[in-house]
Amino acid sequence: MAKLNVSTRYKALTRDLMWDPKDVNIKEIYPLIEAEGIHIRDPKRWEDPFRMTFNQYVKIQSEKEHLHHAIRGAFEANHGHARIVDSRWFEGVKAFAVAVQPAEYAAHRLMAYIGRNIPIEAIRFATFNQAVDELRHAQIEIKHYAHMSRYYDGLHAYSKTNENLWFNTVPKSFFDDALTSGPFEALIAISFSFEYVFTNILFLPFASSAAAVGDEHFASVGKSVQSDESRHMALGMAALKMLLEEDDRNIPIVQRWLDKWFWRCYRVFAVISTLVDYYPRIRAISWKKAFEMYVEDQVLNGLFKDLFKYGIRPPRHFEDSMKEKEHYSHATMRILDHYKHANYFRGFRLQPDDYDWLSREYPNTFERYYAPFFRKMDDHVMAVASPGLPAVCAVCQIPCEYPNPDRPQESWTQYVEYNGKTHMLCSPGCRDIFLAEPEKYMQWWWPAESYLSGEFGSSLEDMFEYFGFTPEEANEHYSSRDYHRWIRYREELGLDKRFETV
Amino acid sequence: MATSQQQYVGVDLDKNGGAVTDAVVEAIQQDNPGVELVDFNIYVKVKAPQRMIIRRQLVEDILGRNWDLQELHMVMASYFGFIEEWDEEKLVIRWSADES
Amino acid sequence: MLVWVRVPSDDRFLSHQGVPAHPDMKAQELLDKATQMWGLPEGKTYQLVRLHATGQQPVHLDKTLQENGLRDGDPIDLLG
Repeated sequence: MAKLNVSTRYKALTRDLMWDPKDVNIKEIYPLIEAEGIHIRDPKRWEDPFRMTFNQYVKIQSEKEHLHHAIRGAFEANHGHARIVDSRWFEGVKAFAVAVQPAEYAAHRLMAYIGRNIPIEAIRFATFNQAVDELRHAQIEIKHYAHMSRYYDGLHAYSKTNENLWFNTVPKSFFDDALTSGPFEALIAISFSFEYVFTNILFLPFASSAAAVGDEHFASVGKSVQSDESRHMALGMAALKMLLEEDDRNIPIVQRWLDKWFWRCYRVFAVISTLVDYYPRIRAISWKKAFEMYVEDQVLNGLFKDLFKYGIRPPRHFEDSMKEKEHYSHATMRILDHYKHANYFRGFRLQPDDYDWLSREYPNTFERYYAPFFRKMDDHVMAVASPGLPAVCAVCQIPCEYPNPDRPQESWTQYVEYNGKTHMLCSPGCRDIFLAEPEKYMQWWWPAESYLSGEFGSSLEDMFEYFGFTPEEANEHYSSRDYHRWIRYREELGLDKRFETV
Repeated sequence: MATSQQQYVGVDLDKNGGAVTDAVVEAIQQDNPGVELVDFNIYVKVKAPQRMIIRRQLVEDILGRNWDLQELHMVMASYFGFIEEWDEEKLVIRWSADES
Repeated sequence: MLVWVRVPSDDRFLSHQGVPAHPDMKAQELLDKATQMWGLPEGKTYQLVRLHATGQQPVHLDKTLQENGLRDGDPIDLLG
């Protein structure tokens, strides 16, 4: 066979692999294909822009794995954990551990679901690549935490914590929402909204912060994972364009999905804003600047200008996300500090350099609306703790504690009447998602109700047993045993020495 | 919006790529008008107004060795724009809002 | 049943907090429970206000929760 070029080789390997069934109706094999009202006239027009084939995929991916595990091995052998600038960083890494790794795993199932239900061969190969990518991400993240867990609290009963802790309902319910959507909606939800619009802001600033604080291992996790994202983004962008160009009847449906999943993804990334602005003691960038760069410039000012010709407008409530950029990380960190005594990653007392940096990066909001709250913890770390268990948003499942960005001293909580009950939503964005599909979101399960009804026992000890960690593994970092262990670890290695140069 | 209304396309490149990353950046700068670099610690963002081309031959010339465009997958952490062409010779990323 | 009580004057910016309740309990009893939970000074006068989609409705402290029309999961503000 003569050597084929990229385009013909790709076509040869990904086309005409299916047949028209004679024994059953094709709709029985693909029962969801018409369920969402999407019309596809010529599926062959749709292809993976990178034209990835199997041999290229395994070659590239094995190289990425070798690179990452070489860095991981060196980091572990050289006591890299002891060498970072400040151990509170690990609290942020723990948050990432339990929030992001289940998301990776769920994304692999979601990609397999899309590939199973959309009968387009070329896209199917891209979704299966991504399914394997997501498993790779989950596994390199698990290895990372397994090593961390030798030295630090909070991750010892990972599966129990993931199953039972209140914090984890946020990412889990997000993916359950996507996995119960139709296959085309799932594609727009994850491949487009999650991957193209928001993963940049997850992996690029956080991996940069990891490098800045000296956590080479985590920087490598972030980089290795992110290196697959270009392909995932290409899949989402190709899907979006195909749906818009194939049939005008698709346009209002796609608009509805963009409206929903923009805000849904934006909210599930709330904790990421604290991993950018709060947990690293040396920051690569602020949430506000990262949001301006990745979302405003690249998506709203870039992509959505291109989509205008199809009649697509920017997602509903994107103005709210822009207004909230000056508040998001502070309001989210405030929430984490309210409940840090019952969470597997700790809050921390802000240090003088933190106040300086946050005031400088957020001159309009930090000192005025948030610094007084954090200063309350200077004398007593429990001074800001909540008196009980909070009402959470019926869509994103985050406690309803976001301020209205137009009037930051007031709550943004929305109240909606449906089916004989008052439902609470954290924001107008989540409210409108609820109102579009109330039957879906009225089923939400929030563990606080079970805790309060005594389903898992009557005492606080029972609750921690259910969570899979102990009260000593929670609360504030600089007064924790993790901090003191880290200090001892450094002393053993002689890293506490100060050398005078004359 | 936070910055100008100019529509940019671009790529985020991993500095782990070393000489390859440097060569790709240089090739982009030579082949595209109005290129801007944003240094971002472990990444470098390379952006250009409306359209960007990366040519295999030019990257090879700068790098001084054979280079397959597929190697870009190792260093291209992210991109923005629509991928218009991708074959063994070139990658073209662009927006096309002005063509409507 | 559970109701969710918030104290808007609290400067920690907290959400409504869950309070186990019973339809037959007097609203005064709920108020006492919530006052204690939130650590509010005793001997002051407080009110409860039920929040719903179209506005607010005062809760009569001498009536039961059921007589006040309070349902499972209702959000309430405690005003001082």
